[in-house]
Amino acid sequence: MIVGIGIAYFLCCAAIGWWATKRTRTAEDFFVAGRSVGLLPFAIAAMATTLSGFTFIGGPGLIYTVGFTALFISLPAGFTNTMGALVLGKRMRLLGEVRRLVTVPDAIGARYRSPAAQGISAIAILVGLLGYLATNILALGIVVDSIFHVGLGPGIWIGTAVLLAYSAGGGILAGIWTDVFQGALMALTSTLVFLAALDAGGGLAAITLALQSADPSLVEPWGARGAMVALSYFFVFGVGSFGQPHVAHKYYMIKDIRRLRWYPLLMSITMALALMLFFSVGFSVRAMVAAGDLPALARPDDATPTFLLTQVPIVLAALVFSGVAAAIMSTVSSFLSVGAAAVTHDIPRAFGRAAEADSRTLRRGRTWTVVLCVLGAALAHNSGTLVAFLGIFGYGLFAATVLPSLAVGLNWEGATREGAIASICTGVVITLGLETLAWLKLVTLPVGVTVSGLTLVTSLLVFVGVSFATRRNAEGQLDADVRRVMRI
Amino acid sequence: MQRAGILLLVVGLLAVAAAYLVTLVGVASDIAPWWLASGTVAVFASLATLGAAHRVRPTPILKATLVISFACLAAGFFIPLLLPPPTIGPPLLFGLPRQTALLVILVYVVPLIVMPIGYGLAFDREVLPPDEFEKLRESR
Repeated sequence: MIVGIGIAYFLCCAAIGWWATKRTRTAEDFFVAGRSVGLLPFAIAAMATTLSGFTFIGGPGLIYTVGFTALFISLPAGFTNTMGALVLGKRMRLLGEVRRLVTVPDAIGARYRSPAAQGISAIAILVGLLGYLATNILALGIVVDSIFHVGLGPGIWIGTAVLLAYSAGGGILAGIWTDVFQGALMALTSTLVFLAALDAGGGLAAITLALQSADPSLVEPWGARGAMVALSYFFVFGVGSFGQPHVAHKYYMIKDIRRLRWYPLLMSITMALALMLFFSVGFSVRAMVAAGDLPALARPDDATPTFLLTQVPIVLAALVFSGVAAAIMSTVSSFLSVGAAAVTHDIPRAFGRAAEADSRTLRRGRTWTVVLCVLGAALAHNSGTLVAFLGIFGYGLFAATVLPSLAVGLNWEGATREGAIASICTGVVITLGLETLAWLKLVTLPVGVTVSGLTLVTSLLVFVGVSFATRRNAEGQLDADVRRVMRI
Repeated sequence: MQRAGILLLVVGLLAVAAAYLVTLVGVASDIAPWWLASGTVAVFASLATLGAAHRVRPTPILKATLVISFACLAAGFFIPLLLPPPTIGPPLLFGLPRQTALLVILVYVVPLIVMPIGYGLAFDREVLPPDEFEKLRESR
């Protein structure tokens, strides 16, 4: 049953890719879906892109271990869905329309009239992206192996082949429509699993009492790791979410900017549904273990698979396994689009190369999608613990690169090119330096202090400080049309 | 408003930096969560202020939405910091210890409902008035 539903899911993704490939005729189709996406698919696709496999596997595992502390990774969603539209959505979409922009570094370049800022941000995004790709493709390989029992290596390459089947041909247009299918699957299965988790635990009150008997701190407001860790999660995953390029990139794609009006509401509804599994399974499994209904887990990450294989009908288990693959694939396909655009569009622009013919850009976009995907798969296949290292710094690097220069810069006329470049360089240097030292165990940060948090704070302060110091340049670095967009 | 937003951002970042610093140094670490909670609320509020601010257009619905949401966020963080850990067993609220339930309601549920509805209601008058949008299109 699980194998059959898994095959059906992968065939659906490939079919959507084939359909989208036939409709992808220009580079704008390939990179920004021809700016033709309606409200509902846009909201579902944005949700699917935002959530990764962590929501279904790593997140419940973390809740199993530290209780409420882990919830603080997802609690910022109460704010970030609307704030994303408020801080980034309107101005990104307007800039996209006024300047025909197609990438996030494009917007940075336009904001500061600076090919250098565009190129540096593209390189920083590429560095973070490769690690993110590798970790997600590795996770996809694990899921494919769980479904088909083919081994991790073949699982990685089967997953990569399905990803390429739709991403290389149809680009982001295929990505968006597979995201819609995948997001709907994630929301549906997550809601059903939530109900099953409550039922299996005897209701939320019974789960709480069982958890209190095992370890009361699990259901205290800050969870087992305490306030500092919980608040640090909230800060990094909340504020950092405005700097994720694969999410910001989506704002170019909505067909009519006026449809942004109810996007936060739809995004919030779909996100709340898709997070139900994350919120429930870890608690339910830990309560069942405390009550002696399940043996203790060998690894926390076994929480979701154990729950699915012992507590829900096999059809639902199979759908959720496909949902996990969906969560991973939707994130990876968006990253592939962002990465291919950085190589074919942003970096050549930074070096002063003129725009190429549309057909050539499209061909190069497809080629680089394949190259990046294969590179990510090869890293996932061969690099062992290096993959975990590469994956760790992606989120912080994106946040430190995009958040100050774009999320703040698009809303503050006093921001300068110097501030943007300094903050991006600060983010890259601190992230790479501290993460490397931490990986080599030369530096150990105390509980509650993370490299991502330190990087985020430092790069934002550098951005504001350098912009203030060079404020005389601000006026001259703002083109009239960009200023109009910022003032609307 | 832009200047106020940036000032709030810097104050919030300095509070977060102070929380990290006292934790790194290992002194007075019991005040670190207070600094981090205050800083996080300030940084979130500053970004929202920057996104919502407009030079001339009044934005009453957005302001009310943001005030309610960030007041809830601050209350959701500070109440559990002020109170001792919850007792084991009943009474529960929505199946959770009362402080935990209160935190989830204030930090997640209320803003999840209030913010997108406020944004949607404010959109035509305060976020993107149709006449200003048309002017921008015509100026291209």
